[in-house]
Amino acid sequence: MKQNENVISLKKIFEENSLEGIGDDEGKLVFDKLVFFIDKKPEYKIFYISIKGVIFDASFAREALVRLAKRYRKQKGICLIDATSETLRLNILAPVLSLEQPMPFYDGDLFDHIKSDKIGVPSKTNLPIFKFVFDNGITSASEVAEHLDYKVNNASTKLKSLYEDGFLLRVEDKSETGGVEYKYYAIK
Amino acid sequence: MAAKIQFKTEKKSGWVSGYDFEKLLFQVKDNIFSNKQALTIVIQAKSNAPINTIIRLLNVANQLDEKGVKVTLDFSGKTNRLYGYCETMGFIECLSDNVVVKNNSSIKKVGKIKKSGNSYVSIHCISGSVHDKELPKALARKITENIPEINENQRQELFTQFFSLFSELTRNVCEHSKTELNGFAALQVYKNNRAEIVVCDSGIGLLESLKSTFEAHNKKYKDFTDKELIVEMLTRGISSKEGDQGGNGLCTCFHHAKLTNSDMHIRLNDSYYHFYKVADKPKLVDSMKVTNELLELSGTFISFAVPFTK
Repeated sequence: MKQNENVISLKKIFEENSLEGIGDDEGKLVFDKLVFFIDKKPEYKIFYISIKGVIFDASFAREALVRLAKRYRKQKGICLIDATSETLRLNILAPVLSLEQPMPFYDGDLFDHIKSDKIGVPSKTNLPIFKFVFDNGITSASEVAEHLDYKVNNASTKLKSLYEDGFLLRVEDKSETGGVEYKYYAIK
Repeated sequence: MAAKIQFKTEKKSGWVSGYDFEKLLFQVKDNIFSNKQALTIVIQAKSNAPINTIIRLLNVANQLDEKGVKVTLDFSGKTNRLYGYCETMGFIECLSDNVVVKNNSSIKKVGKIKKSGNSYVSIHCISGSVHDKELPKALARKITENIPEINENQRQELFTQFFSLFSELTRNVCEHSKTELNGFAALQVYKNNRAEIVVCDSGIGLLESLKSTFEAHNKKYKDFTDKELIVEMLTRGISSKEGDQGGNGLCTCFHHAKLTNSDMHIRLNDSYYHFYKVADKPKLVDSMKVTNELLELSGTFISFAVPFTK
């Protein structure tokens, strides 16, 4: 859910710091500001960064956005919003490839990942599970196994792989047998 | 005898392409540094040249001058069309002081409005040490302001694209050229059709800069051929810095070229890589032509011809 408290406007940071969106030095500066903002709000697991009204190059995108997502991988999710410009999204692609870090975004209501062919998105075998979690919300391995006709162990392995790769987050829950069960949710 | 080039083409159009000019330079390469160490380039009255060729001419003249060669650009004829064009874009001011310009042409400078026929041209010096962060947006604006009949969304997308290209390429000049000779960023807008941009320097060159990092942190590329390195730089990115601190610039330029099906040219010390309509071929290497018979020059020369419609 996108609320004001976990939405960050890149334009505002640009204006406050007179930034041009060029180079890794500006990117690192914005990274520090975003980390400061995020760490002050431990109650939120997903943060939305609006890129409306700004442009930036690939070096800036690598340091400010993709490295941020990588830093919080498996802990918090970073999702871009107002990513309507296909051309600007291209400036995030090379960092996504080089840092091997997924970067989800919204173009209006349309959700996707910054991607090129098979890179930046869940693998072909994990994609149905990602889509199920995306649509279903918080999901356990047993639910995936039941709906997609997998064995529970197999579903659990694939969910863990999506989590490790930075596509999903997870929370611990108590299973019916009293053990620990992980429940997974999409960064969306 | 001093080396002499007749700057012209056998083609009916009279347009001397970058490749045509490279062939002319190659023919005299052994004579330039012998005897008098001089080169005269006679620019024929009726010849024409795109920005890609003009910037090569500028780069060659300044580099040879730096190496002690006496360079003369002789704009022949009473109405030399290329002289007016060169004056208009600021070419003459960018030449090193010792390069001699001969001109009897009566064509006057077009003035502050840099229009040449149905196109717009502009050229800017880039310092090899300071990255001017305002330049990429200023150059991108010059292009998009000069394209009529596109909607605002298309204009904004093109603005972002040209900003991205200029930003990555001009920073490369500052970070890797390691020379006191100025680099250049130039553009030409062919209205309703396409824009051509050129960014070049006279530094150590893209591949040499990368190869100097092989021992320290890029060992895995040690056995790559130059062609393989170029393909890897464009498609995956190779950082000359340690770790994951760079290597996204050229790769991003290639993504933009692919999105718009642009032509790309990369001219290095003694090789010329031409990528023709990169979106039409699934593999980059299939759109690539390599020419090795060239006059040896320093630095990196990159140009893009970007159509306004994909």
